[in-house]
Amino acid sequence: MNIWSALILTLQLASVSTCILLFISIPLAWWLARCQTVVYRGIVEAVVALPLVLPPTVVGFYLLVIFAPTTLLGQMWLSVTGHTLAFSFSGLVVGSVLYSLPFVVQPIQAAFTQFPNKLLDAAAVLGASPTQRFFNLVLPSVWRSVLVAASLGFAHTIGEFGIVLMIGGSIPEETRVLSIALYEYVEMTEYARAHTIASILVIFSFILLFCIYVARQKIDRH
Amino acid sequence: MLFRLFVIVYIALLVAVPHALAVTKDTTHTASNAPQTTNTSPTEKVRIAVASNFKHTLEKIALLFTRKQKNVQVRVSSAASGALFAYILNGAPFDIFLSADSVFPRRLEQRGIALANTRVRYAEGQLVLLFARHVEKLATPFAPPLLLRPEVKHIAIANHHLAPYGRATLETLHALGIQHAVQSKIITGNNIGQVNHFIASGNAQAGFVSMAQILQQEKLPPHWPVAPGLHSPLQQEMVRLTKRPIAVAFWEFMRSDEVRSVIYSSGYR
Repeated sequence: MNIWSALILTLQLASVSTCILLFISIPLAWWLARCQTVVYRGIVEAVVALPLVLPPTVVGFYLLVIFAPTTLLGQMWLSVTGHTLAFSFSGLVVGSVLYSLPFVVQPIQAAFTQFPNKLLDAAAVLGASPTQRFFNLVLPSVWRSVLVAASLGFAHTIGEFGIVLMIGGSIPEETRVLSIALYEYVEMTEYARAHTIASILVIFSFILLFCIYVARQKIDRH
Repeated sequence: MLFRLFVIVYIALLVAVPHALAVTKDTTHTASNAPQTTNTSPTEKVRIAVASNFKHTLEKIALLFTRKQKNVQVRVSSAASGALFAYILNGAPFDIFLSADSVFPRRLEQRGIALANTRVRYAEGQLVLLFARHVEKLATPFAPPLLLRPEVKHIAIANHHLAPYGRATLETLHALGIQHAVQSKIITGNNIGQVNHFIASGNAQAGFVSMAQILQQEKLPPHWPVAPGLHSPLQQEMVRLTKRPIAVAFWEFMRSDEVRSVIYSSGYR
């Protein structure tokens, strides 16, 4: 086992997942912030928040069962990506996106909700289209919150363990991320290597969270 | 006010429900045994760490044991032998350790964690090449070439650092001369139980598990027992970690003829 390859794989997984998360979360958060129907909004908010309370084993179990190559969805996944969802990098990305979704959606939604309606109305009066209003007015003013949300999603993906353990299959340079490598070293009582990985994770996560909280204070001051 | 009431009810439930369950358990026991004596002595627990391949067999044995001994509870923890070894090294409270090999028990004995002269062979494991149900039925008497076929995308094996069955699997692939050919298909489960689940759920098309895991399924899946000469024998040994009387009793029971016949009929040699 190589710690470096596990580290690089973990960073790859977190980066890819964060990009996909931003693509999903920004429109979703905007819709949630604007939606007036209490029931629809409640349903979507609850679904987004589910991974906060569900054990990762639930998500892992459903992914394994629903995307098994014997099922229709599994067949579709196989024909699109060329490999099964389980035991593949793309499978881990799907799991991470599901599992980190609330961490990205919620901060962005909060920022959108706080955005004053008056400004939007003023922009509309001046002739800005809805897309112009969103991209030229809203997004530039909440970029710090988006950055915080992306960092949270990134950090949370690095800390992911349960889903990867269930659907990963521990393939080097494919699905054996840092948390899994650490778990296996501990079980093999190779504590020196386990310490190396654990300390990398602690230091990295601390620095990331420190940056996030400093950024948050700056948002609050604005 | 309402919140406080809720908290009180919640705590009451936490205390009352396990108690109520314990009472109903006792009454089910008393239905078959002597009525008054069951509640007087507290239940004793024997805690057993078992290699995943033997878990189902141990549960059968535990049932026999609890039928013989009154007020005994058998607590079973299962994982890969190497994982259990690490837990025990770190002071996990087990009475008996049933390993899938002789290496881990011997190491515990050498370190003085297992009691001296308690290391005994209880079974010889049988490695099996298992195929998922949707893979075509085995027409050939010699199955390993099927592993090279393109429709077998993933071959699940147990982590060879932790699971003796994983070690035997690698030896087998080596002896067959196909370890390089199948290298890219191999996925690793933490223990033989996860390997079985990967195949049963259809995510892996083939894998190496123990005969006992196959025999406990209702409808036999397509499988091929690995010929004995292909890997070093899976001599499964147990050790005792405490001197508690209940642990001694279970350890003795494991060596009885009754248990031995259960073990043989469960897929061990």
